[in-house]
Amino acid sequence: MQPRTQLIALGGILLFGLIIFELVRRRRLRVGYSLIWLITGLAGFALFANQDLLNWLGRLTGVSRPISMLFSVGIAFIVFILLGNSITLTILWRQDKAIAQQQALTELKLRELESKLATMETRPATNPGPM
Amino acid sequence: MLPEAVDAAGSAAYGQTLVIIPAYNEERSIAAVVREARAALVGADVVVVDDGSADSTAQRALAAGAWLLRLPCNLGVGAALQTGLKLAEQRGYHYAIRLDGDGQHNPSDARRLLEAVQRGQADVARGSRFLMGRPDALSGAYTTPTGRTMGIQLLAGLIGLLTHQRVTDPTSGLYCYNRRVICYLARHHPQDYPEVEALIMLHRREFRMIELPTVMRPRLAGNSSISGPGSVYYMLRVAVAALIAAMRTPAPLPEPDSEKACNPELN
Repeated sequence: MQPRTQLIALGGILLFGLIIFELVRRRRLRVGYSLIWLITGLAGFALFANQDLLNWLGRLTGVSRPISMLFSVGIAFIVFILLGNSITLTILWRQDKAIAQQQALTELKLRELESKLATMETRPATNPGPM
Repeated sequence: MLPEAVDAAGSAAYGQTLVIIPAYNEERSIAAVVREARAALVGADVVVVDDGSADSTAQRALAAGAWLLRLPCNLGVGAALQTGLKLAEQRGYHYAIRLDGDGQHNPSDARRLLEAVQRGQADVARGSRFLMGRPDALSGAYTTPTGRTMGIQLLAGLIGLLTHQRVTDPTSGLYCYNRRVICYLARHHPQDYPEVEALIMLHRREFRMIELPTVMRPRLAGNSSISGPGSVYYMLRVAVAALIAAMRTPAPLPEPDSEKACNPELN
């Protein structure tokens, strides 16, 4: 990898980290979700900054070209993050469903109470009790 | 028992029963279905679960005398059914019947299912359109299209393998549950196309199930949600859901405390 490539990549990762930090600061991103992105950024930084680490990983896995190694690691990260998002969506769907169901049950109860109240309010007019 | 005798004792016989009708854009049939259910099951309460319909399903259900549970958005039939079962659990119903909103089920068939569960013959009684033999064209009954029959047979074979029970109509949407099943499924209900998966879940929790013959009628209005290339996807999805349901640890039964609350005989 040429030093120029390395510099551009590291600059990009630093910018990425700043964006994540700023999003959290403005409450656009929850701290919990920002962590996975910061870790991703750190891993990318380590791999780009330290050629030896990349070569070592390459030898370990039998990948001859360092750049291929980078792509593989990157894709693996993205796949896992997407999977994490699917899990989050499943949890959100379950919560969303429970809220909607509760809302429907409460609405039925409310309608019943309203009609009960309506009959109670009309009754004294037609049949005045001792007051 | 003669039907008249049943009707005379109606409120006593069906008073602890909730009829659950999930409906999504069924404005053309829902009122007739509700009225028919109320006439056939005198004393039972009827609730329509409107699954985020865009048409006037909700208003027509109310006008026909049903209770209404309106979901604010479309959650799918599994979630709609679960909403009805939650109501049945909260209000202490002993029995729950499911009918479809398109009018294909005959509420008098539901009555026979209910009576079987009331007699304690099973925890779940399910209607099957395949136990009567194929209806002839003159009877006015609905003839299930051949392709669909084949699909259902395939699923029935899979269910047979997984449960070692003979199930002829695994996708049937006409059934009756007792209180224990109501409490179980109100907590854990399968999604999307829930009938087959629910079958497996109930089998694995050792609920007793029977199938009784029922006649499917032509729809009052609308088209099946399952047709064309979508049906292949449906089959695949249901089969995968059934296999997973058979492999994973089944959802736990309610805790003994709430089990007591769920079993009216213990109170």
